[in-house]
Amino acid sequence: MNWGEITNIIDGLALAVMPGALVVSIFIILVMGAQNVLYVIQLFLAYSVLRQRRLHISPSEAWQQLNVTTMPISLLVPGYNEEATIVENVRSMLSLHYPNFEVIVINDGSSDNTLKAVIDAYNLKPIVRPYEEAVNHKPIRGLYGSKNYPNLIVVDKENGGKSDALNAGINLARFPLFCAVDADSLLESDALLRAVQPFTEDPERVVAVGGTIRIANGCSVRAGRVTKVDMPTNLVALFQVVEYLRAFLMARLAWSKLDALMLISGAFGIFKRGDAIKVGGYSHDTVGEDMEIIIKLHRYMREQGRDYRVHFVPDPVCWTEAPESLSILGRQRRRWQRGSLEAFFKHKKMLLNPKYGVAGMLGFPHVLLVDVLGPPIEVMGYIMMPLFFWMGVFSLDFFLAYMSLSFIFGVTISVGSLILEEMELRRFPKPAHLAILTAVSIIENFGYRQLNNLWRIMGTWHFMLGRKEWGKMTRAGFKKG
Amino acid sequence: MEAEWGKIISSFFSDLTFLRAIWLSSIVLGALSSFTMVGLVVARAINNKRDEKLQAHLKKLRLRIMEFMESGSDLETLQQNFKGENIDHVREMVMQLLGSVKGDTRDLLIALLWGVGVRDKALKSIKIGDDIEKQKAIEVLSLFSDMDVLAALHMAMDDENQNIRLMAAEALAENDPGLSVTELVEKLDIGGTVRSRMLREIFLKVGRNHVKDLVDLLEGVAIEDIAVLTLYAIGRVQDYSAVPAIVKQMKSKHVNVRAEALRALNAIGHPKCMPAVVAAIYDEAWPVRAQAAVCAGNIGFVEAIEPLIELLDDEEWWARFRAAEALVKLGANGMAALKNASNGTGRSAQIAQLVLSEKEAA
Repeated sequence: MNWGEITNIIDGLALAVMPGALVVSIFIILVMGAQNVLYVIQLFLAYSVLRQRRLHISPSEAWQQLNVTTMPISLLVPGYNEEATIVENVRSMLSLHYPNFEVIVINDGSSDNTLKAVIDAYNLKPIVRPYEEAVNHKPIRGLYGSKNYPNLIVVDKENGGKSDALNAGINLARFPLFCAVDADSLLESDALLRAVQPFTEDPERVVAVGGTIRIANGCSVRAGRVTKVDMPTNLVALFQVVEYLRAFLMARLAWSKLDALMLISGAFGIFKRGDAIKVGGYSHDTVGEDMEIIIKLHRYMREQGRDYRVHFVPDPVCWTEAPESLSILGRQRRRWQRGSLEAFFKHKKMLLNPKYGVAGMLGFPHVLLVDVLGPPIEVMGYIMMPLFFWMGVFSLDFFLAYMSLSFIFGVTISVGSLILEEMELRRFPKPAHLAILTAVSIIENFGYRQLNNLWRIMGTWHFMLGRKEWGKMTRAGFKKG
Repeated sequence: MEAEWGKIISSFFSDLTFLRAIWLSSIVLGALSSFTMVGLVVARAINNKRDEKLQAHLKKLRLRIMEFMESGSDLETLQQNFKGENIDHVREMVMQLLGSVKGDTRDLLIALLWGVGVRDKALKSIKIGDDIEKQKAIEVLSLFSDMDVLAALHMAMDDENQNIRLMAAEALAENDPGLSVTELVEKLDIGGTVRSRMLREIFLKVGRNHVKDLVDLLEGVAIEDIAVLTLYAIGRVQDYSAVPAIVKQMKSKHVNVRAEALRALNAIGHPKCMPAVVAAIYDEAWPVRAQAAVCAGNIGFVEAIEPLIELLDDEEWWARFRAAEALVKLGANGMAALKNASNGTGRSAQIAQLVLSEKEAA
């Protein structure tokens, strides 16, 4: 077969697939266009929320003004193999500025010395504490407490995963609100005071509140507190700083404004205990238990005809350590994608169902667009567009123009989040930080964004295979200040 | 040259195709993003420098204010001393210091705010400022109780922003003994849109000066939120004369009202309420039953021992737990009843055993 014949075959093939290719191209462009329109709407909504928020006050002012009206909180800290950091992190939690709270550390059957470390450090003894068996979890092996730390309780239980540990904490909690916090995260001293505000302002209707998660890599940490904010030196962590800004400062704030917030991060969220129990606590059959409990709350409240709110507050900050290696980050992202899909398909009847109000009509379609359709469509775009160009479906000019707009739009959205950060919160102290983050929001479009989509496609594949495991997360530890 | 550029631009737009529109959008978005970020970085660098200077200045100002606090100068010397100083800076420093002082020193700092014109500026801001300025103004005005300030705060209670109305109410609750409970209900739209827990403290502060009004309000109240707030305030004020009015609320159709009434009775602790508390142990709603148990245990109603033993077998865990706790609090007779219950099997025995072992371990 000579070259002429080959080109003839390709031309013939191109002609045959042309109508289909056009339909696929238009579909890809429409879905990605819809995503971009959504991002712009989110930016404007987030801006309007930030403008309307109350006067920003210092931590000491927050204490003076807010402590009288707060509701007591049980802080639930599930931990698995946290021997290296648990003692310091518990100390930081015990020293939070909040008038009435208890810390319940749940050792989820660690195979290291997590339990011993915390027992030794706080001189804990076995205690008896009656509790309601309201939600399911693996058996509790022992409870520990100390007269020196009356608001600290350590639960030792058989391994059952994070959701199982949180359920044990919910049962043990005796306060009307509980706050789920990752054992390796650091709460700012006034984070609880600020995060509990929606409950204070609307105690009957608010059922859950989430706060901002920020990346602590590069920051200096001393005695369980972030003492100096700085940029990570690792590029993978830097990408995540921009991602988290977009996710929290833009998306969560906007969806909260629309009363269609479908996710409160598992690292920092406050819930009404009674309502969490009514939905059965955290589910064991998903790795996206943080998203699933929020969807369950929406579903339950709507089915019961209750007037309710799920809020996001940007001011309270929880610092977390981001993975610095691509392999660990990939594992995390595959798990997140699997969790989103599990939660979505478990409650798919809510999709575009008016019975579920804005959650069903806006929140769920957004999950469909961004988490379910988004990754395959974007990857399909990366593959199909060059292919269609090669087949002559559209011109080089159009291909380049479309790619350029797509990338620049991505950068503009990230820049929009940075503008919000700079105008309203200003957590990054140096001008150089803004310059670095701007550069990162450009660089991330060339490789990182595509890799992220690939991980999400793999997560989708794992979901289809029915995988259930969490995958190991290794952490380097915070930088000592 | 200008004409040529004009031609180029007009020909670009006259030939504007879909493709050119895409390129144009990319260029505009890219340029906008770049210029904005460059602008923000430069502005931040300038602001950081300015902030450094400002912080140094505020540090000196703070020292001067502290010196003034120690010197005990009169108002005239003081005004002279801080003449020309930026009012907002003085306000910021004084408001910071106020949180950590009391007595004469606090009065002196408040006099300083007056002397340098912070109060006057706040009186203007509360009328014409934006929401943030109004909130800052109310923070300042809450330190004063002269007629002008009270009038301005009363006016702020008509503001369309709920937070401002609440802040003004809180400031008035602290400083204006004339603020009535009915004005609060009306201006803050209680029972309507405003549900903040701040209302509890505001109601309590106002209620302390108007106990009779609170009781009158409770007698005729039909709205759940108002009843709950009134009961909260009456309970904390601990006026025995309110007990009959509170007991009357035990017949409310709202669970929250009945539970709050029990909390109020618990806070007052008067024996006259015993029949109502014992009856509430059999209420249809478990939060009321649990609260009745708490109340019986705290006040020490031994007449409730038998109903509490029955409550140990309640369907709801919290009601069982509170019943067991109450029996512990009821002294020897209660403990004996609890130990007796622990000897059996089933829900009553289980909760009795758990609470007894918790008590023994403590």
